[in-house]
Amino acid sequence: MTIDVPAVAFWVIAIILVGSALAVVVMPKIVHAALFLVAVFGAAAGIYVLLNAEFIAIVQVLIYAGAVTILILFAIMLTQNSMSRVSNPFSGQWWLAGLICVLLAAGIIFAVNSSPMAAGAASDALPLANAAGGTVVKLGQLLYSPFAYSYVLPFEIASVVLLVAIVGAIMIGREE
Amino acid sequence: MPDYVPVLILMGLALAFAILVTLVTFVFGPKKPTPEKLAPYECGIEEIEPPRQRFPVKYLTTGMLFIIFDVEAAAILPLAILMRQLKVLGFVELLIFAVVLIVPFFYVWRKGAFTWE
Amino acid sequence: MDATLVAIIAAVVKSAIVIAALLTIFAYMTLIERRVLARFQRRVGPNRAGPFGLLQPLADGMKMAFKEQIIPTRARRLVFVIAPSISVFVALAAFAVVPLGSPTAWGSSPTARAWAPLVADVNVGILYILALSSLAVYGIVLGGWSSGNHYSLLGALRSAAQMVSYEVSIGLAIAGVLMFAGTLSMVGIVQAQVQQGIWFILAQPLGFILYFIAATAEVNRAPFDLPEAEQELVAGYLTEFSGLRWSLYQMSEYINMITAASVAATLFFGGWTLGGLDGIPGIPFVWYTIKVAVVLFVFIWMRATLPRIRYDQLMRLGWQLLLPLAVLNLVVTAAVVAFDVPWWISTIFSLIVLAIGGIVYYVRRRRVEPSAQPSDEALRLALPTSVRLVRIDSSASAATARQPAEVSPN
Repeated sequence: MTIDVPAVAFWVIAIILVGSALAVVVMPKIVHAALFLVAVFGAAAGIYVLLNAEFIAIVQVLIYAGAVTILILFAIMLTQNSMSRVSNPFSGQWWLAGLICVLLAAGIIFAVNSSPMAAGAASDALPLANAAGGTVVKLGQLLYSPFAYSYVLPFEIASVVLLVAIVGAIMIGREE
Repeated sequence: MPDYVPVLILMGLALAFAILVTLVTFVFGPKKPTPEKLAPYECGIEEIEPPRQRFPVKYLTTGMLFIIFDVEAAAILPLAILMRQLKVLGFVELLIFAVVLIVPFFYVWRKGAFTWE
Repeated sequence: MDATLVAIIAAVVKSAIVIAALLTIFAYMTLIERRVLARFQRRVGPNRAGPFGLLQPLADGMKMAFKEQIIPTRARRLVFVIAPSISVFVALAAFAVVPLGSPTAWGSSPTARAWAPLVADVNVGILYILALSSLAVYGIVLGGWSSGNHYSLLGALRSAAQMVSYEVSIGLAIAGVLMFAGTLSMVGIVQAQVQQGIWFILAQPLGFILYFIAATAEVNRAPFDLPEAEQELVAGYLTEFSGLRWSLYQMSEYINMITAASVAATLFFGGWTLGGLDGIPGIPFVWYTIKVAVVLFVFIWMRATLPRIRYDQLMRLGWQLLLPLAVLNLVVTAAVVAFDVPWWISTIFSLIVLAIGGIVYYVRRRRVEPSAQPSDEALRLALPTSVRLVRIDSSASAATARQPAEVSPN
């Protein structure tokens, strides 16, 4: 008896992911929608783990589920409308959104099926995962070592982006 | 990937436990609600107004600053574990990154983002 | 049998054991904490249920299970019902990567590894714990918000701002250890300490102290238990909860405390190892337990000793002291590791910083103006007649008068 663990895990996670994502859209109360957003981020982290991208998975939980959604909850709780019965109402143009989603899904499915970069080539990416110390060390080497790939400059520029974000946060949060 | 299967299993059991306890407590507990019992707890006095007023924007500022410094920490940790391999170069990278972030940190400090009355 | 199947069965059994063990430890932690606190306050503590009060947790649990579940009319029902479950789920899940022993404790065959005394060893172990503990804030925020009560909402907001403020410091404080270890795996960090022949607390005393303070705030323990400050907020986010769902919150607080202590033991005190005795079966687990127990005792000790700090002090401490010190520690440690100088250089640096901190604290404490200290007469009037059991003589009041200075050194 053999169990194809990754396949089972993928289907479980995928169902949770899509279900939660739908719930985010249709839940009538916005706090419930925000909660399902956490589930979406958690399930997305699960997909990253299946792809051997552990670090991205953890950062997904740490930043998106643990920080960004907290901020969303703050914003919801600090505004008055969160108490009303229907705080996440349907837009009148839901049919347009649905149409765009269908087109987008069709485009993605087409791309996945026809691109040489997709499914068939996945096994080529696996050596990364088998590197000593796992993907984190490999990722770090790509990011920080100038002899390998040299993403050193983007990394340092990222700190400038964060600098701008800090100043922006202060401007938004002015009390006067 | 296989490393994470036990983690998932533990999560599943933890979830099952949490749901089970919640169900058990609703089954076993008595149910004798009275209007007074179900009123919001206000130390025995009548409530003046429901908690609807807005809250200081400071909480939101703290949240935003937290995200930024959290991203910073997440960017530094992979660099930290490679410090032995990258040697001086890694140190210089870290130093630039830290200095670029320390400057706005003190700006925010001067602006009083960390001062609560 | 198939290796995959063995691994899955082993994981299920070990997870069940871990959850059962954490719940038992939680139950007895409440008893131990009450007994120890009682000793600190020269009382006896609960000792009626069974020998030494050992059946007290059982009695408490039974009582809780048969309490009525009150759902206030104002509460947002769904969120109110599931919020404690979120809290306890996150707390239990975070423990998955804590190693209680070596992954090769029973040998290195796949079957032996499957039954090793740890649920999982993942490459991003310490980050996994950080990520899950960042989710702990949800249970509290949602519980407080959904209660529809002023105290609960204020407690929830406070706790959210407090937990996010100290989380950054945790991440940066442990970065020094990660530089020495060169890995994020919990098992790898312990092995690195064995290889380098030191516990990382020796190289990182400052990092440890920063981690410990931040972790105390992160798990909402005294003196940082503002979300449930009873003088001002009744019980904070817990106000409207009753019965077992109230216990779930307590449970998650204690389990988070155990996890924080385990991380401290693993990162700074060599985890399950001590003096090369780890070959003997059972010994690693004993070492691990002793180390965690000591850290847990310090948590209780702090609760008995330190007064709760004010909210503005809390935020200042987190952002203006811990965060800059953590960055400083990070940069100095990076220099030590990158330039390959001996590890004790960072120790010396840490001790200098700690000494400066101690001196600054002492000087500021001295500098409290005399007018801020209450006179004997004022002190006499401040005490209501009902509690004026002791006669205030001048020597005793001099000792009491210094008290406010200790509470707020600034």
